[in-house]
Amino acid sequence: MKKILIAEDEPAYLKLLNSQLTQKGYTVIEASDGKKALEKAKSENPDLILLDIRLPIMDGMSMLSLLRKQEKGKKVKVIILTNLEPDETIVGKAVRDKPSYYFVKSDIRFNDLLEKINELLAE
Amino acid sequence: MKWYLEILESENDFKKAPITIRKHFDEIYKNNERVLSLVRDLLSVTRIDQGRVKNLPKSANLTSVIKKIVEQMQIMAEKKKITLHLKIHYGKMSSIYIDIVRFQEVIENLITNAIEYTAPSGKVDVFVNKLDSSLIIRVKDTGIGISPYDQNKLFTKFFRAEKSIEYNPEGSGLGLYIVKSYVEGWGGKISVKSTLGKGSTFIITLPISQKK
Repeated sequence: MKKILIAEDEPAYLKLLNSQLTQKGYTVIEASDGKKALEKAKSENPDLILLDIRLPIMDGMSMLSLLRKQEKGKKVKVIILTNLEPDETIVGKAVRDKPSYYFVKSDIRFNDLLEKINELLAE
Repeated sequence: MKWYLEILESENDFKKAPITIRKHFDEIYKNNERVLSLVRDLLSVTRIDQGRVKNLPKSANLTSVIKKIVEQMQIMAEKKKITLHLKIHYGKMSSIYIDIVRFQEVIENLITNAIEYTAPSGKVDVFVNKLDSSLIIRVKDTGIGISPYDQNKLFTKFFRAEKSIEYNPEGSGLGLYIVKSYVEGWGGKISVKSTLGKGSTFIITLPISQKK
C-alpha cells in the first residue's frame, strides 16, 4: 500500500485530504509543521509528500531543501500545495528543489489533484 | 473552501437533493469563486504597485497559445449564446518569448469582459495580426460599449464604467488595471475604441521579442 505524508497545518485541509486519500486506499500520515514533516519523511519513508509552503517551525521550502540533501529524500515525490501566495519569489525557490507539481489549492479541482496523485503513485 | 464544495457536489446524496438546496449550493460556489478571484486580483495589484511583478518569460508557439486560450473560453461564450471567433492573420510566426501565464491572464481577461458585457446572441472576435516587429491583438465585441468619458478612466484601479455596474454589479474594477500594467511591463500598449450601445474593441500592441 502506498504511503502519503501530508504536511499541512490547516486542520480543514488536513482532515479533508486525510479522509479522501484513506478512502482511496492510501496509507496516510500527517505532520502539522515542517520539522515534524522532515522527521516523518525520514522515519516513515512515504512514497509521496503533499507539502504546504507556509508551515510553522520550519517552512515547506526549507523542509524540502533539507530533505533533498539526504540520500533517502532525493527521490521521494513531492506535490507542493499552497494558498494564493503574495510573494512570487517563494514560488521560484520552491520549484528549485524539484517537486513533481506545484499547485495553488484554490486553482486546482480536487478531482484533478487526486488524478495527479494516482498517476504519480502508479509510476 | 472549494474542495469541500466539489466533494459535496459529487456525492450521490447531493445529486438527489431538492432543487432549492442545489440552487443555494450554486450560490455558495459562485460567491466563493468571486471572492477567490477578488483575492487573486488584489494580490496582483499589490505586486504591481510594489514593483514586485516577476516576469518568467519562455519561448512558446504563439498560434497554439492563443488557440488554446480561445478554446478554453468557448464554454463561457456558449453558455451566454455568444459566438466567439479567432481570426489569425499572419503567415508563419514561429515563437514568442513571453510570460505565458500572465499573457494568458491578459487575453482571458479581455475575452471575459467582452463576453460579460455583450448581450446573448452577440459576437466576440479575436484578431491577431503582425505588423513589422509588433504583434497586434484585438478583442472586438458587439456589447454595451463604453462612453468617451468612461474610456479615459477605464484603465485606472477600481474604476467601473457606469453601464458596467448595471450589467455586472460584482466586478471589482481591477482587471483592466492589471492588464494594462502587464502589457506596459512587456513594453507594449493597450487602447480602446468604443461606441456606446454598439460595442468595444480593445487593442494590444506588443513588441515581438526573441529569446536573448
